[in-house]
Amino acid sequence: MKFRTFALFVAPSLIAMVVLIALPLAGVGWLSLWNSYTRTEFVEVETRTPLGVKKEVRPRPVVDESGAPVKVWEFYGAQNYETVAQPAALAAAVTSGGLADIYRRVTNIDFWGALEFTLLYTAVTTPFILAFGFLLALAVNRAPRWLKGPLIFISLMPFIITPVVGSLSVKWLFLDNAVLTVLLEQLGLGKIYFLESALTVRMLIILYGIWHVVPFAFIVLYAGLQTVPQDSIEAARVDGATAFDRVRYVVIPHLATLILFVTLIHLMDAYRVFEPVLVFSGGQGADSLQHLTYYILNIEQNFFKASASAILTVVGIVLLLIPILRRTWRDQREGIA
Amino acid sequence: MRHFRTALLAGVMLAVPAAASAACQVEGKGEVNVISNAFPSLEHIAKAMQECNSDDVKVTVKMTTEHEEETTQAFQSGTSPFEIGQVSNGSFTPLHAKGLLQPMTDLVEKYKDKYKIEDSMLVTFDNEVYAIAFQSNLQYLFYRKDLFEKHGIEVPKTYDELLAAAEKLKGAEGVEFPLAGPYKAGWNIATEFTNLYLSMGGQFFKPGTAEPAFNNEKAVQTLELIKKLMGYMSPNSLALATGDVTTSFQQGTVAMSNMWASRAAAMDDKAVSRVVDQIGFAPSPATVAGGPPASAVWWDGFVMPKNMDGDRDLAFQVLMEGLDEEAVQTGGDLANWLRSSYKPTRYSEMVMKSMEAGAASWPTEPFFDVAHGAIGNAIPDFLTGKVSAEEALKKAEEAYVQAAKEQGYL
Repeated sequence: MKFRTFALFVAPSLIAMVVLIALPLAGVGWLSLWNSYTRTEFVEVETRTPLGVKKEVRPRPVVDESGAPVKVWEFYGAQNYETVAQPAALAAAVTSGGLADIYRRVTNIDFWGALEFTLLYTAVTTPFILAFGFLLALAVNRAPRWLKGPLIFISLMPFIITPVVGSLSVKWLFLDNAVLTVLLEQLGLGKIYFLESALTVRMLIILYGIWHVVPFAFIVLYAGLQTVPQDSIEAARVDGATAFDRVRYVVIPHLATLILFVTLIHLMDAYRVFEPVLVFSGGQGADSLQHLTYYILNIEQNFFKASASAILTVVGIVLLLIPILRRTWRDQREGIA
Repeated sequence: MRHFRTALLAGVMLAVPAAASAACQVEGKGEVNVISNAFPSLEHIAKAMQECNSDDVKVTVKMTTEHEEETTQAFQSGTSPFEIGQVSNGSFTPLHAKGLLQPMTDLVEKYKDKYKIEDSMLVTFDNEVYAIAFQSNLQYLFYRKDLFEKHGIEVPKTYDELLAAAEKLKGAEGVEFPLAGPYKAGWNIATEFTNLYLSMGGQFFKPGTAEPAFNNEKAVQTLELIKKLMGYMSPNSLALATGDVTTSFQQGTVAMSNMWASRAAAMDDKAVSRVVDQIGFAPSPATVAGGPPASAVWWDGFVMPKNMDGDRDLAFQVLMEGLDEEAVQTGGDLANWLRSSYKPTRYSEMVMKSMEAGAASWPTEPFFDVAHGAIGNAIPDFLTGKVSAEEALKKAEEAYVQAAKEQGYL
């Protein structure tokens, strides 16, 4: 292909990526280096509210000649990153004490606590999603023809439901006198308070995550199963391979690139886990980096620090993906050679 | 299908501006956009404002529980898409301190007689009116009258009495937990901390400055009291907010709670409540005998942003149409309205009684928001036993100092 033709083909997507991804990312990066606030001065004022009249010392905006409040812009450099990641507090937390004590102190720092659960969530959900998605794909693949449509539709449901709605409905199953809590009690398991301890909250979030994303792995791998060459399967059968061997030595190698693809996408998604954390724990017992950014943006209303937190999340994702990207890169080069 | 058609029809009817009803008499032409929280009394006000829709006037009200973030963003941007915003005393002070609000003093003067604007509805800074308030709100004690009678329990006046009553009600019929509370980690638990800490006489800041003063012995006592109270609550409490506690009450599985006045009427809603007429109301107990009730007083009102480009005169008239005497008369059960013509109901009288008993005002420092957020983030780790009270308070204080510096208050 001529370079000119190639350039014309990729230009639209390149432009879209620059405008929709690169520029906003650069903007967030730029914001993260700054801090800004309205300058105020403390003065004594008489305030009247429905609760009475008071003389109070309160901050009041400083205004310029035109009467507009004075905005202060400060170049913060790496300061916002330091405030979010708290390297000094981390260093202090790891210097002394036993392992359990170090763990407790480190996870008590917001950022590192959020990172811990984010990584845990990512590490635990990924293999389950691949395994269950694959098993579900195999099962549906063997189902009678007329049943396949309905099965696929039902299996996709959890993925279609908006995460906040899905999380809320799952949470409502596990509240004090909710359906599942009562059911488990009647089965003789005793009354379980699922939102009491970090352990059970984390279990719920991870279970929700698996339930929500298995359909994605399923549909991709199911599509892949349709392309498995029947000749190879037949040949393996003739050679005396068991059903397990056929899956292990023919199907899985054939699906390897798709498995890699699902892993890649899920790692990126899992690292940004947000809705179930917001709904189940509100950050209590199980926090995530994305939820931390939300907290800084919404509760502290600090765009600049929230930008730094968002950039740190992006950096985390990139670090996580490097091994997989390197492998893909290698595969591509081998493919060309 | 029929439902769909009905819904479609209703949608079309809403979209067509109705002729100005007799209930609304405003002069001027243009658009008025309002943003507010979503709760029953605000829905009532929104309806009254929307009666002003006519060929000349178009009123839209955006109701969202995320109104605080959106209001701040809108008022800080080039031109605000809203001419009117709803605030509470919690969200008012940061907006005012950032210079985002415009005085409405001249408009109040102009329309004082027409809308019977009373002084008790005005929020002023140095004699300039920055907000028109319409209701006060706070938390007070909800309790099961039937159980109190059966077990010979007096309505508790202090938290010691409340704890004693809770002990007696352990294992009472149908009651799973004697106590409940909106204790969800974050905003809710920080609000309970504020209620109790203020009642103990605690201060959040060194007077006249933004220097923190909430890392002290009284705060530790407050945290220990919260932990004691949680011993009588559902172990899930740190995940339960106001709506969840309301449901537990309605199901009859809890006996006492320091709850929002705005949820009182829901106790007697026959459609969803099993405890109709069985819930009694009283001012929150005091943390110290003879002290003020452990409940901070809120007011809700409306403001106008400095950066609006609509007709401020028209916007003010539409606002006052929503808050006039007629609106208050027809919305009697929904709030503790601030107009003198309003007669308190069974649900709102405890708001007045709590205020008379000396309930403290919700802190009005514009940087209190920041402290409240830091406290709500740090103290749950103490309540779950992960860190000590001192560690939790130290963490809250450090987070507050950092955030207050970033906002230029320190």
